[in-house]
Amino acid sequence: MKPKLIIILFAIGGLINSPQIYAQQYNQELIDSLIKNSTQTQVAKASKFLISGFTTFNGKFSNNQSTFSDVGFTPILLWKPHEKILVEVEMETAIMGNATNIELGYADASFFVNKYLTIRAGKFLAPFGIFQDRLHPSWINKLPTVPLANGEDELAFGPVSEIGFDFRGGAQIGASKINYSFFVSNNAALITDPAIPSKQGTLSYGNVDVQSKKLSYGGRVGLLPIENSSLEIGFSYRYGNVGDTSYNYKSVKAAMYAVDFSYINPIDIIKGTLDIKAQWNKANIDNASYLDPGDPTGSTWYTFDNKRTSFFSQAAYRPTMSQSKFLKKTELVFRYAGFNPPTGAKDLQEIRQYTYGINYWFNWRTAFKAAYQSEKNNNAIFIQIAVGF
Amino acid sequence: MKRNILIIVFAIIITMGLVFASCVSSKVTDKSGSQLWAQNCMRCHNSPPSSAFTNTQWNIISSHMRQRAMLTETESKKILEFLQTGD
Repeated sequence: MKPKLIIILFAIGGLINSPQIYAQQYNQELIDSLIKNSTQTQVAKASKFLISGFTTFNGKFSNNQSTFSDVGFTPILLWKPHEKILVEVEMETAIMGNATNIELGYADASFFVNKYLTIRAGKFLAPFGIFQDRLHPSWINKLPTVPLANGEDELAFGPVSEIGFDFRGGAQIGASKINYSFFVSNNAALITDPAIPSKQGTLSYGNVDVQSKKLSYGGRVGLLPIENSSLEIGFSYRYGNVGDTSYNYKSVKAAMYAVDFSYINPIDIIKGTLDIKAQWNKANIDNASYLDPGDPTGSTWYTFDNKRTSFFSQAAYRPTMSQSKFLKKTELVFRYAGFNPPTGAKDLQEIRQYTYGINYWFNWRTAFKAAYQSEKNNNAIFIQIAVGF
Repeated sequence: MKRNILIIVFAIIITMGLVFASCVSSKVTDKSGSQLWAQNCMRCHNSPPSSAFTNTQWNIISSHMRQRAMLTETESKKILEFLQTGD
């Protein structure tokens, strides 16, 4: 009798208490769920942004100059407000002399229209060759210096960025792939100022104040014929007016061409990864008359056949299959680059440049680089610490 | 000039030889996310480990890379899935 009574009492107690227990469990689950949802919402809202980028510290040592220079910090803001929209903004911050220089590298919005088409609008990296579009960040560039005429110095003649619309995408064709990027953009501006003679007849890009009836256009097509995407060959073209509306220059046009080559693959027989990159550029700019910088009266004009070419070819080897942890992180690089100026241009001469480098990768995006660069009467050692983030 | 052309032609021949020596035939759509990650990221930079970013950050980066490297949609999705889940 007693055991039955105890069981009945327990059962009654259980029935009386169970709603409270269930209620507590239910409430706890509800609270947990609300906290989780709230946290997820907050995280989702906050995580639409990502700050990426890279920072760089350089040193240059030659017979005439020893300096730590070009300290740069380049944050890239990525914002994805919608699954089909991406906004990207790069701010280039660097110390120039004793001042800090801030420049808008690019600022564009991309709309992923479908599998094969993405439309970009704004200021974007020029799809001309591969160096500016893909390889220029210091944590990607294999050497502490940029190839001749591919940077933004007085020899540069290729586009760095464009302002306008860009239509791009990639597709698979059998085991091969193809990618494309076609743009319409503001015209480049012909530099005529005699203050820097070597810049006369070159172009500046990414201008918003260019005045001309027609826009420039161009693009790049890349072919990846091998199924493992290790090989890519690209062809680029750009055409447009470059002169301003003044009588002397209003009909001046420029046509530019580039061919690029990229091959990278781990290869067993050399126990490492071979990375080859090359690019050849050509600019044909209509002949125009420029003020002779050698004439102090400013009344003498001169002209030249404004066709110039440049190229670089680079090979890097990293023993990624080595047993040694140190060797795995070490990379050897060689680059051969050249610049052929227009015949008759002021203060320009043919240049051949040889750069021998060694890199040590602390991790996938942090490297210490050292290189010896040889040019006629201009040899120097460069070091660089590059950190991507 | 002729010497430069010879150097370039020689380099292309050597490279093509290495390309075909290391070539294994399979279609892009048959590849796993890890294969596509290994083959595509390294075209420009070292391949990042999945631990480098959170899943949400990878989602943003995959769009950035799809646009920048002109990856196909399939490649982009498979690589993102691999980086987010390890599969």
